[in-house]
Amino acid sequence: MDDKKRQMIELLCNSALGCTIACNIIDALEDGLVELDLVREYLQECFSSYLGETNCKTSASIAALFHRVGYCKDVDGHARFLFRCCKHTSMDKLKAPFSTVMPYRIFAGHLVDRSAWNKRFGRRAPRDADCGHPAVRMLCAHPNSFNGVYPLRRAESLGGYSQLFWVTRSSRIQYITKSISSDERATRVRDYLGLIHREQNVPLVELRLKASKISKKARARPTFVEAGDHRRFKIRSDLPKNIKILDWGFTADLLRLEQDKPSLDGAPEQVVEPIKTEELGEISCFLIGCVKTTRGEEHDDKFTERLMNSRTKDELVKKLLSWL
Amino acid sequence: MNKPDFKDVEPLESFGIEDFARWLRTGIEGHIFNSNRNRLFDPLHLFVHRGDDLTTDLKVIYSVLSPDSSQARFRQGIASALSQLPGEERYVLVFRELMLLAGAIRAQEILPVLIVRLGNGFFGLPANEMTRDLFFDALDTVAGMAAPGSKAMDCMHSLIYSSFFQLEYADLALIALCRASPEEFPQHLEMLRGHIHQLLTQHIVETDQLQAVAWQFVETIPVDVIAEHLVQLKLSSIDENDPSDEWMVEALFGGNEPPLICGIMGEVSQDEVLAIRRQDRPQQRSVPLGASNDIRALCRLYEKLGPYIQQPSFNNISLMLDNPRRDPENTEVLKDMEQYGYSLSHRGSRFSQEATRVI
Repeated sequence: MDDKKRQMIELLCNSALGCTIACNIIDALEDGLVELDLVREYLQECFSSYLGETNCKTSASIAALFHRVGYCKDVDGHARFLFRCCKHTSMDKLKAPFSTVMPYRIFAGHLVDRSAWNKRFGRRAPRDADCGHPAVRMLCAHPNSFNGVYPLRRAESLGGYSQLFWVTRSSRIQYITKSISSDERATRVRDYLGLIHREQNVPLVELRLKASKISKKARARPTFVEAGDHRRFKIRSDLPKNIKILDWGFTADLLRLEQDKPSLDGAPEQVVEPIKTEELGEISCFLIGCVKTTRGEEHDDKFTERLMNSRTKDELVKKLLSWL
Repeated sequence: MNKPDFKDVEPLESFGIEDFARWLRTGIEGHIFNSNRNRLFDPLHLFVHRGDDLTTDLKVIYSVLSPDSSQARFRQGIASALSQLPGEERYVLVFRELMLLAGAIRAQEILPVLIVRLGNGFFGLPANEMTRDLFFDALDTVAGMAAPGSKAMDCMHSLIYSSFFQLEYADLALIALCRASPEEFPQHLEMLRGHIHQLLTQHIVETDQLQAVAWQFVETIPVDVIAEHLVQLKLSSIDENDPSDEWMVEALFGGNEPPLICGIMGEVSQDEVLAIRRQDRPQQRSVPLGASNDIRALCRLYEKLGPYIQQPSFNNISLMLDNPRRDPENTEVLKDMEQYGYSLSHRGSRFSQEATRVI
């Protein structure tokens, strides 16, 4: 059995992504953001799952398995690992709005009420559109014609598919885009929020939520559980002022990584449980623009190296095995 | 998002068309009807329920399959699953998911199935919010697949003639038809002329709002094709209530950001001709408007373009008109032009700047 455990952990640590996941697990525990019991339970669940997966033989599939375990539900439909960061916080005292950023396709295809769109634009929203779509390009060139308050479709939910959604403070997006040309805005926001999976030509929409809308929802600083196999997640903040903030994590700014800046800290981030569109009612939406570049895998090793912080792969394996 | 390796999708490599159909249908039905999603799309269950939506996840899996063999069977599997779905309201959402997936991976194999299953609305179900949404998704999916030589044109015609088709779908349908068959854009405009006329007369849209459509039009159809066939548009100057294509000329050349620029080619007082080019591509050569045997249509087009002509002429390439029907010495032409209130500025000039203005 111990051989099997070692096999699983070594398979995980065999790739840059796997090492990123391992570092985040270890750092979360060392920084006191999660309990040891949670880590043990999670690793045990990963191992049980691994034993049941005859096809889990690649770095990609083991990373996907670690992701899946974090999100898997019990028979009663409860995802027991999500939102388990020790540093929960209440939003009651906060009044500032929060933002989540998503591709235009998801907004137009799943969230916006289509009859409201019709009323606004006199025609249907092109659903499966990227920046190559002239209608979307026109919208991006004149975002004011898009920006506004939209009623949402019934029977949908924000974060429903992935069981949560990520938020940042709206003021941070405004700040970071203040002196950026409209052409570059989406690319900068993508980098700032660490959204490495948002590729070239994807138009991004910012949904701005009032604090009151999410005050009653489960909400937490994200850990390795929620991040799953995200390639640019780091649990540990770099800047001393951010390290003191326990209830928010900080994204890995992709631009800063490329520029080899000492700190990668980008936007503050939290995860929030899904909200039904009926609860949200209307929502303020802003078209940020089209992402201009694709961030490939070229900095994977560099990013992982930072997280490993001179730890060796063997040390990661040993540490994880000690909790399994 | 972490993408599967080829080794991860190997179990699907041996799937036949029906295996894919079953795998997709079972997975999608489970996704829609069951709350426990842990083993859906087995053995690729680890790679779903992670991205933005199911379409995104399945598209990623599809992208890793062998391009020529397994991907083709995957696409055919979608078509097969669509053709087998029971005609009940319960399956509308399953139909939608399959169709969105087909749209995302451009699975043209579904087009013949859509034509058969569309009828007068999906499965003959009555129009309600869900079936209307499905209809629009079908239209959008087919529009996304439209390309020259594809079956999207037939499918789009079926959709346009369906009772579910609504006025506000007209621009999407127009662009889709233009993508499928660019040279026939005057015929496509004719097919949708009534819809767009109603949109404008009922003030559901204003002409300037249609400029986005004009931009799409120009993105879709090469400028030389537009120039060649522009004269075939129906430009009515007599009855305002008569549906026409004038809105298109206004949207193409007028407004704040017209996609096309119109100007005179050639030396002033020499052989002159109207030509067009894209506003956003100044380096591109402008293209003279095509000839026509219908001199009335030609006059109407020049009349409509008159207000948009750029000064001074934007291209110094001199082109000779070679169509004898437009030779000003042709008495029939002169008669036609006089009837329409045009004058020729001097002998030898075909259509000078003055001649294109309404007198």
